[in-house]
Amino acid sequence: MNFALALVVGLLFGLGCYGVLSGYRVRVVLGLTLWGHAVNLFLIAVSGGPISGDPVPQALILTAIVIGLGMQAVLMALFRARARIKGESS
Amino acid sequence: MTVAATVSMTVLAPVLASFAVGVIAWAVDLVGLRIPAVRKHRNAVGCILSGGVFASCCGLLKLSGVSVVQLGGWVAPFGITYVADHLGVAAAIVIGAVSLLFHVRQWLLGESLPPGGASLIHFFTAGTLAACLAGDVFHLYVCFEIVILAGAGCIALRGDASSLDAAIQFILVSMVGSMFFLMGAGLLYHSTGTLNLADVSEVLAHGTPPLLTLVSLFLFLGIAMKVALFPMHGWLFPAYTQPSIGTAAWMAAVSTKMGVVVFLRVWIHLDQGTTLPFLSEGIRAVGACTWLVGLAGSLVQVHLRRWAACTVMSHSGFALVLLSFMNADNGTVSVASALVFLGQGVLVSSCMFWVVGLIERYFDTDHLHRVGSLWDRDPWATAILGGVLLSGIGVPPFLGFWPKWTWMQSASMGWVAWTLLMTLGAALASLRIWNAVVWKPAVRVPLKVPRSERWAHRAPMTVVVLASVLFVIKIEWLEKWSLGTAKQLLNRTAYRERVLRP
Repeated sequence: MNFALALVVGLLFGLGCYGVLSGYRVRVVLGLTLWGHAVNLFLIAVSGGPISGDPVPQALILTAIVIGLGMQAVLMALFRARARIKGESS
Repeated sequence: MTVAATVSMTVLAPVLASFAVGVIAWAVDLVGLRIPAVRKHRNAVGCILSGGVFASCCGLLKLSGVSVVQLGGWVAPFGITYVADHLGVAAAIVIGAVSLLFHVRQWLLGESLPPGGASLIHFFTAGTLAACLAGDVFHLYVCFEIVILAGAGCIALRGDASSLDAAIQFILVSMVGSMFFLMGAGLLYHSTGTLNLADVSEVLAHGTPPLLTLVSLFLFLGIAMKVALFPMHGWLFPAYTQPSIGTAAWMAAVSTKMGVVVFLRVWIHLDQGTTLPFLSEGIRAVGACTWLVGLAGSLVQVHLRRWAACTVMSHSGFALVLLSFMNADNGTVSVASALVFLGQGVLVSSCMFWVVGLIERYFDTDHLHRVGSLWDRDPWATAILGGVLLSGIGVPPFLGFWPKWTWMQSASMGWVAWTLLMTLGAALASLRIWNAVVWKPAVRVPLKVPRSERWAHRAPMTVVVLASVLFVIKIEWLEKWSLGTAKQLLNRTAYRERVLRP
């Protein structure tokens, strides 16, 4: 199971890299989202798996999810505002 | 109220006050949208509120030694820990003072941030205050995120395309840094079983767990992206050139310095002298490269704001080099010098941007080829610019001299030579700026600025200059404080006892 988790983490990081480096706004945000998920799965993996019962990594992951959501919202808002000013399609 | 409750409230007051003031400022902006009288007095309200935050930071001076607060009554190493030691108290007071000066300058100049802007500044202040007082890595991560979100908002306040680009760049790099920091925190918990810095220190004092190098590398990368160390410094120039001068001065004075303070807090416990030798040398190399790249940038920039941003970057590099020697024989002197240099850096960075703001007001540009004859226009601002440049170089009797001189007396010949070379470079960069701004005839006649507005620009700069003159006069006090704080920081055993077994 740990190998499968490591594989998924690597896959998410790779897809995230593709998104972030693509240059398209939505793909950049989605790429960062995938990176965020990869980091969260990484934290699950190092904490001993999803049913280890240790609350600290779970709290860390929940905090990261919430903060990541906020960051993505702010980033999307900045992209949208910029697109509006430049007269580009959103 | 019991003594413990009083101590808790005193330690938490700056952070709570900043958050409360941020909410109040947001409410004032909302009401001001409908009631013009409220909108007219927004800046005055901002001054009063930030004065309250500064007063709460000064309240930390009542505490002695190391004061520890465990939120919710959770016993360490569990829960959120706040530690008010000498470093935390000094950092809080400096941040509170700079925040107050920012608002006073806004009020005197009659400049208004867009609605919501003042609350972003206060939330930024809250995040930096909490980061300087945090005692566990989890809470540090949360504070970093608050700083990133508020900072991105501050950069984007002008609302034009270039400031939005700068904010996007800032948030992208910072998110990557946060991911590294989070992975480092997860691995730290996996290796040591704790995220409390005192507990981590205790575990590492009894042995080196596996993966410590990887943990330290990830945490360092996360912090490095926030401090804009080479080669992750790309976000710094747009972030400091796009916002208004007041916001840029505030961010330059506080955000990167806060990052260096956080690095000190975390690294002092991760690296206890024997655990991470090659990583410390790597950090020294990164610091030296940052110093060099910042200096090289300041030698070639033709825009004053970008020159100031490069200078801020070079200061971060030098501070990092000093801190990388924390476990060497001259560790106490190195950390003490770094602390004074960081404090001096706050004064110099804020003054630099304020002077640039005044020059922009006179000439409607910050391009070196279009400014000049500042001495004829404003001798007072010229004198302040001269003081800032000389302090940045490290010329006696200015404040920047003491940390360099003190450290060089105990450093190896190689590092003395490198420091002298960098100082010569800084002198050349400063001379270039002085020539372009003061001596060279201006291409066009400077704009007439009303006397009241000129004094509004000069007032915060004068306060900062007077503060640095006071420190120079009382240099023995500064020396005593910095050496005492360095010894307290490097005394990890006392810190662990105080936090884990109060």
